[in-house]
Amino acid sequence: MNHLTDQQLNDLLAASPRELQQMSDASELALASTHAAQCEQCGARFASMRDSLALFREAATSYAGERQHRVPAWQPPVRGFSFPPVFWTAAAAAALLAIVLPLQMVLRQSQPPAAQQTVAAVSPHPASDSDQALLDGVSRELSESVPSPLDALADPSGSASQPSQIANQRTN
Amino acid sequence: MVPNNIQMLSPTELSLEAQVRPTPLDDIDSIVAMYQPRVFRFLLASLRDQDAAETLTQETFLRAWNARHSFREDCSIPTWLIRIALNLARDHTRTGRFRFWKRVASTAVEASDVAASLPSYERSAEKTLIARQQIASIWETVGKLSNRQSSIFLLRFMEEMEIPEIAAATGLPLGTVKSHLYRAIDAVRAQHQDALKERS
Repeated sequence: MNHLTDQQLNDLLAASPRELQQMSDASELALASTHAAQCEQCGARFASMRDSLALFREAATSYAGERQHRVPAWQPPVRGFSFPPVFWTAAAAAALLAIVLPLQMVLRQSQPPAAQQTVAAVSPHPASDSDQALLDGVSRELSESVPSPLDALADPSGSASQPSQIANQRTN
Repeated sequence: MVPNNIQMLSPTELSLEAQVRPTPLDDIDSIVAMYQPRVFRFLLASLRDQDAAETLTQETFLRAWNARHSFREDCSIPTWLIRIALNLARDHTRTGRFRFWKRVASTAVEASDVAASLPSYERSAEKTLIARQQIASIWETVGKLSNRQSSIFLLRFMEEMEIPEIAAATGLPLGTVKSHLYRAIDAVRAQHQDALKERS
């Protein structure tokens, strides 16, 4: 057999230890492996490259290991029971009320007594009295035969004199 | 006709059932402890930027956790994690911003730094020096490969994944993986031989 071709050397280098153990004796890989074991030149080429790759792995592993301590251990995001968005909206509204209501109560209590007296003076009668007066007024209006805004229509004679009065005012 | 003893589930019920079903990733603490170094190492070697590797390592496990119910166990957990990391790294390197910051980043990984990390036990000073030169040479050569060749090379020779596993992680056919791997080996071997000639 001639020396190993680049392809055969690549086959040997790319093969994993398990593949090299499990290869059949008649396979291309087995023939290449046998040749590398017997031929000093090809064996040296193969061993040199294989050892360099092993060194590369060793150094890369060591280098990454030295820097590994900087990487914080990953922790899964804590995701227990999650409330629906409606819950958060309601909670926010409740929190807002809890702030606003006591504040408003405090503001009312801190209002000066004079202001309260003024309010009392403006409305001396109870609310029920004013309502009754309003209702009486409405009833009175309804009971009138002609509403006051339509008085002019109800008395045509009176209305005839009005345009002349207006005309006089215009001439003046 | 559906037999009476078979319960038909609506898509919503199926989805809920999938979320309730236990997954191999439920014990996330063990998964992180076991595979975080590996994911970080792969991302660090791929991106050559420590900050980006740290960020994407965290992102990989967050994505895995969020998608744990879709893990169908058609590949191993590390292969699945590497697949997520690969996708994140690819998306990251596609941005122009990454290319800009790669040039100026203070956290960029230098070949000499990696070579210097080689433990010097059981080696003479001369052998350690030669070994460090070889490592720096491989690191630089891998950095010049295409993203796909570089990823496949790292998965094979740094993560020691077999070709079918790499195919599962990258989503590429076996032949394509082999083709990219062999081109990467050719490039690294050519550089290695040049270095040997210079030394002799």
